[in-house]
Amino acid sequence: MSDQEILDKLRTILHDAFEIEATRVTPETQLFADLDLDSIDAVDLAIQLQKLTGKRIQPQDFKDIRSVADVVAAVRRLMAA
Amino acid sequence: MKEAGRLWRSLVAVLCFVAFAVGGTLMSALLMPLLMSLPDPAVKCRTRARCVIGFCFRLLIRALVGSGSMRLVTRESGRLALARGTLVVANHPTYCDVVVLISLMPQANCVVKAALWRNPFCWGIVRAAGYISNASPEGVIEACAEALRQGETLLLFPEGTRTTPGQVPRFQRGAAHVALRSGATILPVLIGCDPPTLTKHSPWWLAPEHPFTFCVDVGEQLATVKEEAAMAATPAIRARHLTNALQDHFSRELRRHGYA
Repeated sequence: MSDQEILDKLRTILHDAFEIEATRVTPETQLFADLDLDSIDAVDLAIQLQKLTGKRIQPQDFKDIRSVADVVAAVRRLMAA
Repeated sequence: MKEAGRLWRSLVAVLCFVAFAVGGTLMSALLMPLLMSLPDPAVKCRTRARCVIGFCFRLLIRALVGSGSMRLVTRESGRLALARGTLVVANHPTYCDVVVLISLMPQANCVVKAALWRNPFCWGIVRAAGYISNASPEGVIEACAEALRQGETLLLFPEGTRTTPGQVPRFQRGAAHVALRSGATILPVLIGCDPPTLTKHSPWWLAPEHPFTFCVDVGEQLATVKEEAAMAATPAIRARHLTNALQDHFSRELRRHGYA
């Protein structure tokens, strides 16, 4: 999956789970500061990404994630692993 | 004369903090461990500990009122005493909020920040009272919902921390998650404090220029906002809708009462 495809999937997930408009989601967007996600949402998002990648997400995979680009990179790494 | 009054009230404030520190330390170290060591069921120990806390808080308030430092105005506070299995949500302008609200409903549970589990004044008290720690974000939501399902009344400040008085509050979504997960009724409590005192920005030992009036206004149960929010597709969206509805309610009502 290309980065663009991952980004599109992520936009769908963010919209369906949190009602976040796709236009607000760019690689630079900060999940917590700009999209107002909280720690409970982060758990939900991790579950959705597990479904997307088919891989178990370890807490350390997710610890340093701040921006949408970080999520895309993490998903890419998981799918390659 | 005015300065003398302020000096007196500052002295009272300092003495109250000293009483809190000394009383808390002794209770944490001696009384609460004693209560916990009694061979009674855990619930009974918790009930007794909360009785003691309620008594101490009423004493503290009596000192503040009796010394002329504080004027306490309550509306419909009987609703708090009668509440069972209810989620009580309040705005959080000062340190006094929790003292006044717990004195009005001593058997309520509340979320206490994890740092106070290691605080020398509080460690024994929060344990004996069976309060909920906010150590893990997922754990605290479930623990709150479970307490409500067990019929406890739970006090939450959705802002998560004291906020600047006079400003419209900004709620985090934890309280909404708890309400939705437990199905508990929500009872809104508006708090006003004028002039502001014991805020995040004011020194704790300096009383405000005038005695402060502390208002506790207990509202009606908020059933409809929750039903509307419960229609949304996912728990995260339901929590967002309910949080927005709660925040709108508080902004509107705080302005209407002249608290913000």
